[in-house]
Amino acid sequence: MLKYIARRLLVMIPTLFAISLASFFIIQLPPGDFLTTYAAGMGAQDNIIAREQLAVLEERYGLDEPFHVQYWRWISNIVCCGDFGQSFEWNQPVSSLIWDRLTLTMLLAVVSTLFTWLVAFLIGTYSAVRQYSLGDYFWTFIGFIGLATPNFLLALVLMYISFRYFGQSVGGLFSPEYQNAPWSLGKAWDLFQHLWIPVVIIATAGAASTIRIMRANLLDELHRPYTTTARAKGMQEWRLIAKYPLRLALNPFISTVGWTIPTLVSGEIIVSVVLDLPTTGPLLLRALSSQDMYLAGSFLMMLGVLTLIGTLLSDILLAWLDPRIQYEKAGRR
Amino acid sequence: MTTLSSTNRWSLLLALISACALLAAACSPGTGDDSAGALPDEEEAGDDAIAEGQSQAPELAEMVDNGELPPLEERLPDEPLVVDVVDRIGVYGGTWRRAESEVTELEVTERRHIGYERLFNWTPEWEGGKETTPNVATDVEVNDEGTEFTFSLREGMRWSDGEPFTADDIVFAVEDYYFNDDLRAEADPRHLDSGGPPEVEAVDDHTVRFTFDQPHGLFLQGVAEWATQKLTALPRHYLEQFHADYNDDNLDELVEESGLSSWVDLFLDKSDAMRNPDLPVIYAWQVTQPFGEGNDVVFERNPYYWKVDPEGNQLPYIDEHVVRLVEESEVIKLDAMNGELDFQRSVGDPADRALIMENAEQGDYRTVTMEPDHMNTMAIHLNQTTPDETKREIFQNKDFRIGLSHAIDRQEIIDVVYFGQGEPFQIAATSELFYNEELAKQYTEYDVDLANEYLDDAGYEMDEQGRRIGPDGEPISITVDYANDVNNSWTDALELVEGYWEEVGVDLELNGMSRSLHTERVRENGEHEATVWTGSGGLVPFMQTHWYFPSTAAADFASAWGDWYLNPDDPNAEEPPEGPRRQMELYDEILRTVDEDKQVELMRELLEILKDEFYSIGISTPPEGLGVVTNRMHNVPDHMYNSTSWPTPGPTNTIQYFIQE
Repeated sequence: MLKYIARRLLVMIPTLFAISLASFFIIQLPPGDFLTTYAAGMGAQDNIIAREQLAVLEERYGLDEPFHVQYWRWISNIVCCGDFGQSFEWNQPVSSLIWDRLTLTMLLAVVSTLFTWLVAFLIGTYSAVRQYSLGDYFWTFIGFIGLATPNFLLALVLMYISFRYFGQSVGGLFSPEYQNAPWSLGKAWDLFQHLWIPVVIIATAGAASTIRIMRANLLDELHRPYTTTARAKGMQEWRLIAKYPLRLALNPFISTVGWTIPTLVSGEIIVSVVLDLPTTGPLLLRALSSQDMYLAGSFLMMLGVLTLIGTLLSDILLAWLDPRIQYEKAGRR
Repeated sequence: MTTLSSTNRWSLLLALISACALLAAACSPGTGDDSAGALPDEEEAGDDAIAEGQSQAPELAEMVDNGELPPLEERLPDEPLVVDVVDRIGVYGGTWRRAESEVTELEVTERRHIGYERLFNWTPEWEGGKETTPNVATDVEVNDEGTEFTFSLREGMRWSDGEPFTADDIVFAVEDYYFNDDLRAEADPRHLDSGGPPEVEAVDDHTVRFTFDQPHGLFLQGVAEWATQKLTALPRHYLEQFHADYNDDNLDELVEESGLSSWVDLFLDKSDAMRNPDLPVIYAWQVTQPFGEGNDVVFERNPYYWKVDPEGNQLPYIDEHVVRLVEESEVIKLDAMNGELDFQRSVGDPADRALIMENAEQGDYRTVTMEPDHMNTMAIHLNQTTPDETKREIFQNKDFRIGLSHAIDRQEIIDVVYFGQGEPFQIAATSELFYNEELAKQYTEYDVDLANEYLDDAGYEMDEQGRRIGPDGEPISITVDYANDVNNSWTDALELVEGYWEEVGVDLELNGMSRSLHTERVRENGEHEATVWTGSGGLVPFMQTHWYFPSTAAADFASAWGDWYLNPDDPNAEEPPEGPRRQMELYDEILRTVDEDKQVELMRELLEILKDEFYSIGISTPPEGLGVVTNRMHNVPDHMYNSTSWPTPGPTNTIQYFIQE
């Protein structure tokens, strides 16, 4: 097991290198750079920036240098000193910008994953055990609606309802009075009160597929001979299901852990933008559209790391929960 | 596997997950110690704090009583500036809440909302950008040639740390910021330059003299403009320690400590009133929770502020200014309609107008109108110096441009795209001082026959397929490179124009692109055949001239002529014909003129030539914008300009706004 983990960790290094190179390259693909975007933004307000001025700024930001020089400066600073560089747009070190948001993103990810699991577990089990019953159809239908409705639409509907009928905005993760307050029990409770809306919205999308997988897996197990045998021996039905088939059907829950973070960040950008959540998605979107390359690059980098760690974690958990899974390839001895 | 061990595994798994969450929380530096403690304290905004008969905010009076602050007389200058109130004398207290969705808009809170404090300010009325009013300076003497400006500064005025504000601070700003080799690009000294950097001299503590090589007739206006903010914002006594010319001892260590890459970065960071709470300012409010820490930026009252209301009460009335950075402009709209933003200068676009007005009662707010300083929704510029020789010949043909102008059904565009708001308009000044009916309305009449007549006269006959043939024997086709992410309306309007022009035999190809690509292609290289942009400078033709004559490379109707005006030796530059050259001479003369009335006269003459030249094809006047003010906020004028030249709402004196439930 330890050997397995060590090998996986070693493989991560070239993967990370590839991720960093690719993300830095992609950020540079669109025409222009941060300064042209900046100049264009100023131009939109009819504040024209002189060409000489742009040239000097270009030099200051190092944007006039070739790709490999820029990349090297960025990556060597990260590796040697943990310095992610400076965000052009915010005029701040990147690291001071991303941690807060990464924390809230992680929190949102963990809570909505747990919520998705809970919903999917209950509905999936029910609809497998009571296959083709009215309840099966009903819950499956609900699940599919969740899958088919775009998340941002759901967010907008919820926002409209709370604006129209409760006269308050649902945006953000904190009430104004807690916005800048230090952490306290009150603030945590306030966060919880705001958190359920994005959690429900994000979970509705994820739950449907997990429900289906759960249902299908459980159905497979339910018709296995060992189930029939156990039943013939007079084992109580619910105890029987919970003891064997259910546990085997749980694999997809664990194996998706690794994907949760990247899906949340890329897939929920629109939800976060609509709901005004201070998570990573909107900041990443903003960084990309203003071509704030060190910020965007570092973000993609962090997400890459999180994804790799998530995948590793889910693999380890999976192997640990399900003894049938082997660490080594079968053929290798 | 036993039941026991499996339960253990599950609880372990759960523990692992929660540990992850905790770990993530612990990794975050900002969460544990966000102790700015600057909660919007709305209870305090009650009306027990009537300013009448008082002379300073109750909190400040208390601090004076406790000996934490010198008495008011010692804090105010000898002659504090008396500011007129819009409606009535206000009360102290309260929080002005605002929101922004763009980082760049949030950053300019300094010059727009809390600190429009120049030597001379634009007047609240802003009549054509002719006049400015004393502010930090009490008076100015100008010599007859317009080369020497001697400002008298307000005696006894202080920075927010209690240090005196002196002529030396201005000298520092000019010599060591605006014209410092390393800082210059960031500083943007365009209004301080007239034939080179000025010579600045501190005659005594309260007198500062600018001497220019060449006359600088628009200097006082330039001082009030957007780009000149830092002239009165750099406290020498504090900032010298971050400047390479003054600190040989430990600057490197300071840079190292800050984690920034150079002293330039450090200096810019330390001199940024949005980011550095230690920076002494002369603004009414000083930042206490800087930009980048949390979602809000919070400003609090400066006890040394140097203006009073007509009854002698120290301003500002409002305790606190809080700006929240939100992810999207839709959120601002929603918050404003909930009455959660006390004064937001621009909410929604023309399509939202009805919605915002309808909700006013429910949201307990009122709306104020924002008159745009630009004069056109969309001006079509055919680049008369485009690289293609044939196109160039066609575009330089005035009859061709007139024909195309008559072919456009402007009323339909206004009705369909701009919700019926606005009137047909060419490139022309909207300010009363310079309004010229003929210039504004010429060739705006929709008349296809007339259009065809002009196009025939231009010499481009139609072939049997109804296409007009250019001098090279090919059908005329114009590609318009436009930025499709600046606003939502240009694509719609251009599609209509495409239809109108097809009717008169001219093909229009729409080439939408991101505005950064547009900047590179059009503004930097001048490679475009045609483009569109709004028309700025409607209210201040003096300061924003590039649509009236090719004064910079941003004059999209003839980029190379603009280059020529800036620098005849520029590789892109081309010498313009007589008309534009005469305009350039007139503008140069304005710069040499000190007399305001003479300047106005010269500007009118310049605009008269624009009428003959007819460079660009305008569509319509822009719709008025809407600002939202909660009913607890007072003294906000019902009407103001929306501009960058006149950094809205700064010149309306935000210091006399007040909050009373």
